[in-house]
Amino acid sequence: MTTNAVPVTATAEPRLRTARRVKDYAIAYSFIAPWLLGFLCFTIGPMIVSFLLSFTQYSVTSAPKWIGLRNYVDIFTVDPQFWIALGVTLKFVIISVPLKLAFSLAVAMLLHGNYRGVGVYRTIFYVPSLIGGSVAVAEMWRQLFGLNGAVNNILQFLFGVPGDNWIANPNTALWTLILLVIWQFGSPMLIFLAGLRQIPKELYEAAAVDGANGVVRFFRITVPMLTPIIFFNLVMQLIHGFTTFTQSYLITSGGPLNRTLFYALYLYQHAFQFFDMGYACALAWILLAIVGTATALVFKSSSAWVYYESERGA
Amino acid sequence: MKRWARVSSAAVLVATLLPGTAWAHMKRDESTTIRIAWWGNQEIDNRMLKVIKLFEAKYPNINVQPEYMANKDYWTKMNTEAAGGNLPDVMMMDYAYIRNYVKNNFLVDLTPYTKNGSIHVNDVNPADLQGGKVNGKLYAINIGDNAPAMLYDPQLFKKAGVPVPKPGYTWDDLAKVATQIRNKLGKQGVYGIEPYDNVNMFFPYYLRQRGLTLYNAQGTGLGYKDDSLLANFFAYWQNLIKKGVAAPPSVTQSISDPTDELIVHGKCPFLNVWSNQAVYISEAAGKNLKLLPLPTLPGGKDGLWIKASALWSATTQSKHLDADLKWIDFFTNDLQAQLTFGAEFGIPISQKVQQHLYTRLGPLYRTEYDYIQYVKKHSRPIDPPDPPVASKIRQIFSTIQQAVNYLQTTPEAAAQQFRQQAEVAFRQGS
Repeated sequence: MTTNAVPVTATAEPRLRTARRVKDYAIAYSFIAPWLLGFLCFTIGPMIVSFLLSFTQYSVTSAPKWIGLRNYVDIFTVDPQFWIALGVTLKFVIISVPLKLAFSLAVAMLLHGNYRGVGVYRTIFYVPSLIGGSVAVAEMWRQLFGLNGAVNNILQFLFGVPGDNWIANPNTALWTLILLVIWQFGSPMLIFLAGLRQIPKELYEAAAVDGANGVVRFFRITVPMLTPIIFFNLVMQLIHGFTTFTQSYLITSGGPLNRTLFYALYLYQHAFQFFDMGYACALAWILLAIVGTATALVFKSSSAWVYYESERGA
Repeated sequence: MKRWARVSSAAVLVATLLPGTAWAHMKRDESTTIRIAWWGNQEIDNRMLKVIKLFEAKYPNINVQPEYMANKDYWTKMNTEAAGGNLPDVMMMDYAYIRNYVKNNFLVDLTPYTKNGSIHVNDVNPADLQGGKVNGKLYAINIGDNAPAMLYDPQLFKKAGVPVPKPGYTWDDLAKVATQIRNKLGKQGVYGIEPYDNVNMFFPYYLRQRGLTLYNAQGTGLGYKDDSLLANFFAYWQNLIKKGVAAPPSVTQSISDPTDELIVHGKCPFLNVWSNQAVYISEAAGKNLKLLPLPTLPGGKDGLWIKASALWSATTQSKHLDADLKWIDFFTNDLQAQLTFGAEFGIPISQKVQQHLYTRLGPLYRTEYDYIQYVKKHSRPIDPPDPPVASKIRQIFSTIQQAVNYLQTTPEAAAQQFRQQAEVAFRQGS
């Protein structure tokens, strides 16, 4: 490993340096002050409050009542819906995240070339990610996969088979939502595109000289060189996946038969439908622990499969 | 130049930091502004905004700032505002929430203001004020009377050649009629009935016919002991689904708005509604739908009840009680306002208003009015308000009912499951 440490200059006038450093900090902090203020007031503050509320029974309109660990105990011992919501969310994450990554990488590979109009295509393919979380798209999805929706019309036209109500069928409802989030592949795609540009062309040229075909080049050069990007996208999508809310709230409301009862939706129900804010806060902290654990596991595993160019033995 | 830039940017900063109210105070005049909140739909909102225009024309020194949203979001918003000390001056209240709001001292006791005539209630039958009373004090004024009902499509009956059931028809009659219609018109995709969202209306009704209630008097548990009641109730609907008479959930599950119901599309003769929805849904359907009571139980009790569909309350967080009272009085008694509002929230409580509307609103209003008169003779007083955990219980019930409708569970297992989960909810809620 090459050392590129900057030599530390001897401090000739320490007091002047300190004064200057204070001034530097003051300026730096004043620049980030608006963000910092927002962070303290709207992120850290509510987090502390929500942690405290998770030990209370709080119906919003009357004052919170301290009940110790009861919310947490109830969640794990007498709440079958919690386990259902957790199961649905895990299933959703395990299926949708790899599919979304694979799909966005595939599209990125397609758009990596330098042909005419590629910029336009990149923009077009990013559009679903911009509008995907919106109410309009959710409504569109309901119509598309409904009993008389476009999907069934196409099936009828192509194969002559009548379709089902995909959203109301307990076996397919979750899949329509998975399809929706995969369709929003824009941001991982953009990051993959940037990653693809970083891969040195010489590697491909050398491989081509050695007679490696496209598939070999993909698996031996592209994928290994992209692993840091895959890792980043994986972590981001994992967190997104666990906190998915809008799609199930708007399209299926958790039904049919709780098959799309995402964790975040279940939490929302407790907070804003049942007005059981303390319980909802406890659910939120458990979710944080779960997402944190999942992320930590991915980080832990990264040394085994993520390859950083800078780590190359010098 | 540099200094000028600095001064101007400072000025901009100050201007943005100035709270909006500071500007408002600078152009102070004699008018007061009150916030009025309600839940509704497109139709209700449009009409309410017109009524507000009339109110502002009558009281030029009062401005109204409306706050309206769908019922689903309304209580989320109100509860949050209540917790933040920021309730509107006048808010629409519901029977399910009034106790909790009174307990937390959010509502003004209106009793003295009905006595001194600020809110004119001389034309009101005292029974119609009952829904707004808590512990003998009046905290809310009923906007309109409502009752559970079956909306039906006379044309579909005619088309099938099946006679419309007469009030007093039984549960068995209902199943029979639905089966006949399905047999006659099934080829055209018409179902006989739908398995309705039963926890808000049909199941409490079913229990009331047996002299029972869904919740016990203290609101600490279920009000019935025998799980075979719920099992039989579930079995009634499940059988109709199994026979293909009732629409399966794959058809009904994705209906999200009453104006998209099967009855609107001519695919079902019945829809279980609150009577005030009759006008709205009929207009969406573009046909003259009519109202029937719910099926009776031979030898059983009257199951129907009258409910205030919505009420007006003045909140203790308001600083303009005078204006609040003027609004409530205006809405309750002004003939033009009531004509404009068109009884969207059921039959208005003022008898003068009722007479005024009877000849001036369409035939649907008369259907609704006559139906409420019928129910007044064939009903028992409303059950006590739902306990706070009711929203959770409703969710539990509808999930279990879904499993029944999807034929994923037996009625017996479903009934037991409901009790188990409801008891946990009660324990947590208390």
